[in-house]
Amino acid sequence: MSTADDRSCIPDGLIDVVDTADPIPYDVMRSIRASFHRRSLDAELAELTYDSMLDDPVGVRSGPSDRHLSFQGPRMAVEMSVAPERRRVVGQLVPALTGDVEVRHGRGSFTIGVDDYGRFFADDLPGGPVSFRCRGEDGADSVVTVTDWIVL
Amino acid sequence: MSGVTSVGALVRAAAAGDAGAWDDLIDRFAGLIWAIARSHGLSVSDADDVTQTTWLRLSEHLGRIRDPDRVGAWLAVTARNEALRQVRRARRDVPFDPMVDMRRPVGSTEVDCSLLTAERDQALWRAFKSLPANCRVLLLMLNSDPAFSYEEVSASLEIPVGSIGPTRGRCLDRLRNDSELRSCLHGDQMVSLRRTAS
Repeated sequence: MSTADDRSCIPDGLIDVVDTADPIPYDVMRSIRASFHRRSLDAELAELTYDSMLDDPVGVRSGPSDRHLSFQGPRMAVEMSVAPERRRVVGQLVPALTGDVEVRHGRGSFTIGVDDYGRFFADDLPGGPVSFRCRGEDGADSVVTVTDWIVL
Repeated sequence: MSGVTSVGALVRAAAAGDAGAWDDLIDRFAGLIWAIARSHGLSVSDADDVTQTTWLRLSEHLGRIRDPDRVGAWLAVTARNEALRQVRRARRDVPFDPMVDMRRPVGSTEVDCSLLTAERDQALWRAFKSLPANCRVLLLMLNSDPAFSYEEVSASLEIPVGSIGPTRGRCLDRLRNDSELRSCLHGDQMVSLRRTAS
């Protein structure tokens, strides 16, 4: 059915039509402008390298099960499992350093402890994007790593 | 910053702490990222999460982007992946096919919009919403100003460069074959539509 020149039909006006019909909400614009000021300038970044929700083949799992996430930074990795019920997170710093984890979320942050085995736990995490700022004590040295932001 | 500043320069300036450059990046790409999230059939709330996650992630990656001039494609890839996560999450509860927007209205009403721009735009919007997610993202990226290159679209949608042209043709055919939209678009109106909104 494409008789006319593809380049001359529909699309040019399409962007404006989409913008008008379903514009990005003002609140969302305000949030993403503010996100610039939440950057961690003094921490290393642990990038998301594995997410069972996206990387596992579709249909492998039946029903809700724990989700597994891996973040890899230059000097620290963070492994995490997230249980759907109560949004419970069990995390592991690698290497297993003690320290603390600041859970950053849309409305602020809170800090939890890391045990002697490098593990941390949190229940009822808030919805929306979160990021974990992990501080591991390595003798007199301290390794600070932030994970990529992700929605759990 | 002026409109001629390259995207790559904006990324480097933002990485160096220039909040104005960050705002310019948002002005250029926020609409597209929102539209990509919504193209996957996400609710406003879920699209909000995807959009915020995408920009928060960029804020931490600013100094680490391998090719700052292609930050638009980086954002598009990130937004699409986050949207697919949200779709997967939704599917845990309700079966959902990310390639088909199930919310297409059934039994759309007959619209006589031979002359009315607003009605025609509505018909175009409804026809666009009924397209599969990949069609919607592809048409958005190719028709952004400035448009994304085929290489960037290829990377964002994980499809070969060679299939972008044919896919684009199929997506446009689907759009044109929408019965409601067809009743609005005859002859030169197909062409005239391109400049109506500007």
